[in-house]
Amino acid sequence: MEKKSTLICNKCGVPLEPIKVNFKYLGKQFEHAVDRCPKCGQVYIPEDLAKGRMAEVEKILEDK
Amino acid sequence: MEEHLNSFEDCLQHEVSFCSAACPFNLDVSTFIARLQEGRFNAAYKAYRDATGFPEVAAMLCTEECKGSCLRNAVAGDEGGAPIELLKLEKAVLEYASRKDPVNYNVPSKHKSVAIIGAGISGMACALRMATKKYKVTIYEKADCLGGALFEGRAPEDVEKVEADFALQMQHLDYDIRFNSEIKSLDDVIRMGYEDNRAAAEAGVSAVAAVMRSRSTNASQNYEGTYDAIYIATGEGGEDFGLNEKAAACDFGGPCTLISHGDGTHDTAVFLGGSLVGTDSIHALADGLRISTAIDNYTLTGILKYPVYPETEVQIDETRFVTTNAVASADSIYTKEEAVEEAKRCMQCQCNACRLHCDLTEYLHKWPLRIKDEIIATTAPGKSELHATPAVRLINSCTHCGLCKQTCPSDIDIDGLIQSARVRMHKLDKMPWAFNDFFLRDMAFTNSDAAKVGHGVGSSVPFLFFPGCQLGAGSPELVIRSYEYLLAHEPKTGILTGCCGVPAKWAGDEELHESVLDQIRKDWEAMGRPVMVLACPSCRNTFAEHLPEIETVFIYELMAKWGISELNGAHAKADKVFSVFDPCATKADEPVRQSVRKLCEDMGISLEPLPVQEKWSACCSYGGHNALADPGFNQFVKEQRISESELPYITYCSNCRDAFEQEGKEAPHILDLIFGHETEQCTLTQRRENRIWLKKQLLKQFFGELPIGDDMEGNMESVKLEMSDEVRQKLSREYILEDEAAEVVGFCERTGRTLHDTESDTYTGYRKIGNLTYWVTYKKKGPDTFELVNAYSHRMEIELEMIWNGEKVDIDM
Repeated sequence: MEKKSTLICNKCGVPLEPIKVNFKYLGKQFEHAVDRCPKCGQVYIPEDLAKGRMAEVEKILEDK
Repeated sequence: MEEHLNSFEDCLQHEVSFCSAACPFNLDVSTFIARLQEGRFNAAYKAYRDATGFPEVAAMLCTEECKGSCLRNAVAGDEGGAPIELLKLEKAVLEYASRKDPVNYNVPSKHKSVAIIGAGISGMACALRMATKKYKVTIYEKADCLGGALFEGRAPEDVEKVEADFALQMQHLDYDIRFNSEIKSLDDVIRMGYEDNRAAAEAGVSAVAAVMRSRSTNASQNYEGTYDAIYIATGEGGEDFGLNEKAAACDFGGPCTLISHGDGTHDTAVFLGGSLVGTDSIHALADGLRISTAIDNYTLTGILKYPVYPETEVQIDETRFVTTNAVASADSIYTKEEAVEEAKRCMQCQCNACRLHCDLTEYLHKWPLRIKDEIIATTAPGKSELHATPAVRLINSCTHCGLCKQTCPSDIDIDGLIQSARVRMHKLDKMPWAFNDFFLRDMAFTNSDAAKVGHGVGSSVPFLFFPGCQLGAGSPELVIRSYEYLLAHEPKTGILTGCCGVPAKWAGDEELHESVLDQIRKDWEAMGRPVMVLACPSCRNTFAEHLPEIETVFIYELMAKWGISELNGAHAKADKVFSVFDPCATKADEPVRQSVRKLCEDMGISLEPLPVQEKWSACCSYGGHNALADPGFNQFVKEQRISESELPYITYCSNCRDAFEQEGKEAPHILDLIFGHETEQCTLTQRRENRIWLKKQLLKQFFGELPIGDDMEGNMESVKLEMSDEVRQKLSREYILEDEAAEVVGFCERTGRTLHDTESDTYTGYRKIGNLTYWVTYKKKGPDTFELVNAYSHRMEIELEMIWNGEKVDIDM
């Protein structure tokens, strides 16, 4: 079972929720839902996402 | 770039092997053998049948011309030349193949008709191919059977074999054979063709009907609509209808001509071939096949050209082949196992000089012609949505070792093409910044006031030591010791640290590269145009190519000349055997290679040569800065070089040393050995700190200048960052500087933009610095002290929360 996140936004004191975030790389823009503070919008990209799916998309865009 | 592209016209990749060129059928020996090596007799049979038409007949008639051309003649075995027994392999294939039925192709009719005079082997071969291509074929034979002279003097079982092969290969084909039809005049054939086709048109049953109906209405006067082509294969001493003489007067490349009808728009092409024109039986068979291709070309294009037997320009490096003898067989036919074993002796000659040496083609399994095509597509103007860009990573992976051009018999410079592609990519703004970003920032730092020293002794110096950017980063002590050595021998030696600009060149940024070179030129001129003493072979290449006005010498050459006996490391490691690893940039530099060997000799070090070295030396992996563009390839190259020998290497390029030692291979720098020093591996952050230390030390030790203040350290944040060695190493592996991590922590603390993990009491936040987005997880230890728990980065940019909140303003990031 996936471990429940114990992260809270330090500014707003609320837990994060999956909310759409816009990303940009090499002139291409797209959106994806990641953990985000529902109040202030602070984003969290965990390391496994950065080195996993995110790195894959980066590679695809670099080769494009 | 155009110049490099043009050179690919001379690529020999598609030149056929010697045996294929010698074979009357140009059998694709490479494919045939490859299938046989895998024991695929049916597949090998298909390759043989596709080339010969009638494989049983071909094997029976074969005169083994391939044997004389086989490279194994030159690579002699115990009993002299031992060429591949190709005919025996072919016979084994005929024996063991179980699926011999030809494919019944569902091809639409060509609406063209062909007459063949003579049902000997040449005529039958032509008929086979023409009927397969769905031409309407009529064969006129004066005798009452097939084969012509082929059966003369043959044993009954051979005759049976030939007849069976004819029946097997032609079983699905439509053709009209007219026995006992001796042709006295070509006009008769043309008339018969006209009448046949006309009758068919009127009956509306023939494939040619539509064509005939669409053609001339006064056809009865000029036979327009008769055969499109006639092949005269009447055998040795047979009837040529006077055409041999007529054809000789034409310029169609051989015995063929055109017979006109009516307005000349529907001429009949007439070919002569086989034994009629003096060939032997095997070439008669091959002629029939080739002429079918020439007829097909004629009907499609209107161009009449007699087929030629191609030659090959393939070039092979014979020195790499091991001698072997042919596989012996107790029977006249190989067993399956013997056939496979014999096939494995074949060297499948193909020009692959570059592939034997180039790491990139080996890693990508790509031939240069394909690489060229991919580069053309990738560097074409226009958005990538409009066309494929398959070579972006490839262009940024090449190590620029130069072996491709050096080994190519046609001097094709893939290296040069890729370098020009880098430049074009940069100009088109198509270069992904992430591939070169770190290296360019590193160069900027090295050439900044924080790290750069330029100091002469007096107004004019005979020598100027330029150690390069990496030696001082990895081993600043070696720069100090080397400079001490130079000063001891020539007190008027200046020093200039910094980078030669090669990272900008590899990033394709000519403008930036030129600005770095320009600064070096200015510094050199300001110091009275001294001879520059180099330690890095990449610098030497850069100087030779871009700063030819500057005279250079390697410090190793000076040391070999001046001697090193007074130095403490002169007898170090004398108990060990090493191999000198020549950097790829020293290929054309015999003096430095010899100097390094002499220095080893002076230190009493025993050397064993590497299998491939000196002028054939390949890159350690550093060249071209591919570590971020393709880490897998970077690792592959390192492993290739390390696997060349179990012995420790002596390096004389700090990049080679770093590349190997990162992988645990002992590879001391020659200066380490000379000065009795041991360089420890350091992180990227330490490399920066080393450069700062080097500047301070040089100024203090040699020029009596006061150390510069703390602002040189580069950390703009006041935070103090602690971390375990494990985290420190992780940062270095992932190209994250500790200063960058500190900057992110400072930013997070200042702005409060963090996420709090209540369980571990850690804080996580990010900041974009330059192009990259860095994440840190840390613990608070004191007012300005933090423990870094983790850090990572990504290339993608995150939309800011202010924008997400609808406040579209630039915030102070």
